[in-house]
Amino acid sequence: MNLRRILKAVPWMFRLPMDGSLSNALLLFALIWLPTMALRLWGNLVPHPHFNFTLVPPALGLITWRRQRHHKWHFFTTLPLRTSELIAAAMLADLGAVLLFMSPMPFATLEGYITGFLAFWTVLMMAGLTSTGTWHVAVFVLASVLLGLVGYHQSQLPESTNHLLLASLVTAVAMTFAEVKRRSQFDYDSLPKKDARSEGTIEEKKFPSLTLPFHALRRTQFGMLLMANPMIGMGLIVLSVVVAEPIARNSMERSFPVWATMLVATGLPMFLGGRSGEFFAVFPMSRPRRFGLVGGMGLLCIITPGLAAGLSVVSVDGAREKLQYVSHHSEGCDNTAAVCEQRFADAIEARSGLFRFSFDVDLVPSTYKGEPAYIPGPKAAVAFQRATLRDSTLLTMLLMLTYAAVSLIGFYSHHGGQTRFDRWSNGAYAFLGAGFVYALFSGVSLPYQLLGPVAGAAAATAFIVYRLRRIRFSLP
Amino acid sequence: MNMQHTHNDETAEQPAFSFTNVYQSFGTTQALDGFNLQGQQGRVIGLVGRNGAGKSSAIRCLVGLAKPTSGQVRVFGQSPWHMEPALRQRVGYMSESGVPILGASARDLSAFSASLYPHWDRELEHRMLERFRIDPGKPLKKLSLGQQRTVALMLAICPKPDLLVLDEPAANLDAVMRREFIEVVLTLVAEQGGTVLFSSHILSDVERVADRIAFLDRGRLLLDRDTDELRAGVRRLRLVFTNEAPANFQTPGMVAMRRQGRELLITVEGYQETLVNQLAQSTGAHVEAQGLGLEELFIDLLGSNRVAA
Repeated sequence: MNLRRILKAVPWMFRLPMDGSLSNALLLFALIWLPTMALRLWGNLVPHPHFNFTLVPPALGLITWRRQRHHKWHFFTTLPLRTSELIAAAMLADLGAVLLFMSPMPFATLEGYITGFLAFWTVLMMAGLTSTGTWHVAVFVLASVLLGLVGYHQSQLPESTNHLLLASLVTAVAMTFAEVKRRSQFDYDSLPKKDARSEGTIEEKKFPSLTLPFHALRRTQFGMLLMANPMIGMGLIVLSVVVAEPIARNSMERSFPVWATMLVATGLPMFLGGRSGEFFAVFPMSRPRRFGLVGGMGLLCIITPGLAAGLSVVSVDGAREKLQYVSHHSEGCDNTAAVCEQRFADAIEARSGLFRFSFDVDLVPSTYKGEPAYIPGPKAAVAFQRATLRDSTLLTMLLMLTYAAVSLIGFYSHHGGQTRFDRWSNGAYAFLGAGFVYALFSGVSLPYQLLGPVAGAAAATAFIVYRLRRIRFSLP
Repeated sequence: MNMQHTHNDETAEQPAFSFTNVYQSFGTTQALDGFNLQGQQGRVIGLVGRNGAGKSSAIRCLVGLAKPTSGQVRVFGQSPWHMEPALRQRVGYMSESGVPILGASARDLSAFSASLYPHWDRELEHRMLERFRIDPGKPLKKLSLGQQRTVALMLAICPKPDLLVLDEPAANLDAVMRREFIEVVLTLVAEQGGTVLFSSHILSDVERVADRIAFLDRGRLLLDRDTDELRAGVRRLRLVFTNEAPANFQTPGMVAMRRQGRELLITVEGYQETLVNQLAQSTGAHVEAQGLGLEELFIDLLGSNRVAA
């Protein structure tokens, strides 16, 4: 048996049954979670929720998972792997699935189930088993609102925010690492570079590596911002949409004013709030002793996206280069104008995400390694900028609104700041935070997608072991 | 297809694959019923048959996805059911259903596959992606059906296998796409050599690609000929009698017969030019020989006009 071959096969074994399909993921959810929740909601029908009826739905989920894999088994069987290696890989994938499917077991409360679902969904996202497209975000939003409603009912929500901050920090490290890895896999030399004067020979200049950490941080900090304090995020979003985008649209070169405006305008409420001690009172971080932490984190959240936006996104040159990078990513240079135009248009459209807008694509004739080539013109670059800003800001805004709503519900429900969120839910929520941010904002390659199942399995194991210990100690 | 492999020279005389008296049944259904076929190295063999004839069952046995109930299947002299990784690396397979992981991108899939095959052809991978304008980063489910099948073909062909097995490679594709797809297969086969076994019920595709055609019916090999031999050696003879055509007509090599009043249409295999005169003399009928397309032969062989062997 070859361990390397086994480990290569495990993530594929794991993802194969889900197939990146929302319906499959929902089916699993329905099989695993809904009956469990129904049993819990029914009342005290289940004498001990951890060891009897609640085992049934996860077991069904596992069976479904295995059956779906079985139907697609030929993919593995014809690969150059020994039967023993296939079995070993399948067992490891099964182990991950068991831990994943059983992870909701320790949750004994309704919000625990909902949080667990969010964690479950996060794991799917992290593992690349489901995408981060519109419907998936919508499901997340729905679940978050549901969580907010439960929080309102049970007055338990806001305490989890500190866990989210911690989770976000962990995520920042993971994401930066993943982003570096992703970029390092790209063959920069194959990329047609922008020319200095919009005409003539394309310079053999590398894609600016300076922006790399900023990209990672920008994505991460949006996530942190989102988790840490919705109000700051809202401020950033409002300013991005109201101030930054018009500036960017009309004068793309003005990168400094854009990010400076974002920085000052979004930072101001935070400082004001910190001084008065009241501003934050209406938000999850309501305890004065946490202001320092929140303030520091919030500042970081604001500075890095601003810097990143200013340095890597906002200038026309930057946009052009980025557009070329995105559209030619790993495809090399195509000399046909029609193909280039289509590719640039596709890249702009893909970047515009949820919200589409009309745009023009112009091409500038140039050369690459002596051959005729095209690079994006100013209109295409501006369109790409707009798309980038919309993509980042509007998606973040959507999520921010959700969390703001959840947080507000939490505030109005917690009656004076005393909350007691179940520790299991806290842990899961922290995990959720890390995974959500990680999955939503990263385009990581397969080895890193393995982090999802591994992290999920580890978290679930920890939960289960801890819970079992608690139960054992509590027995007479 | 990797002609650099030294084992090719060592085993030049050995068939790339063989089925010997293979039976396979699923409950009461007999998928393969004493199936025999040999694939010599360097040949492109088309496996033709109606739906349910046993083509996919035979292929599944060949690539080790299914175990025959009895009989012997060999790939480069070894049982595919117990194939070692080193041998599996010499066999490329594209299933009828294509790639099962629609959530994955071509890039992910090729990265995974390439890590398992020592002779993975990156250049070919890029050429195929470029030719069919496939975005390597897009999940397969967002690609067209033709592009999805191209990715499946790419995964089968880029390991540069010595034996390439394609199960209905152009199924569900429109005519233009199918033509383009077949052209890619043709080009690759011409470039790289190796043995190819592919199944199809689209006869024009088979005729264009295969240099040998095996007809399969109800789990049995009905006919196995070189394509040129088939074209040259199969004719339809039209016999016009002065009275009613005989109901029980026999002649060597006859595979199908249809009677219409005074006219008898027979399909013969192993046709010789002298046969027309022989038949005219022995029956007193006016005899004409007509060329026969593969599709007509297919219908005659597998349709209701077939003459029992």
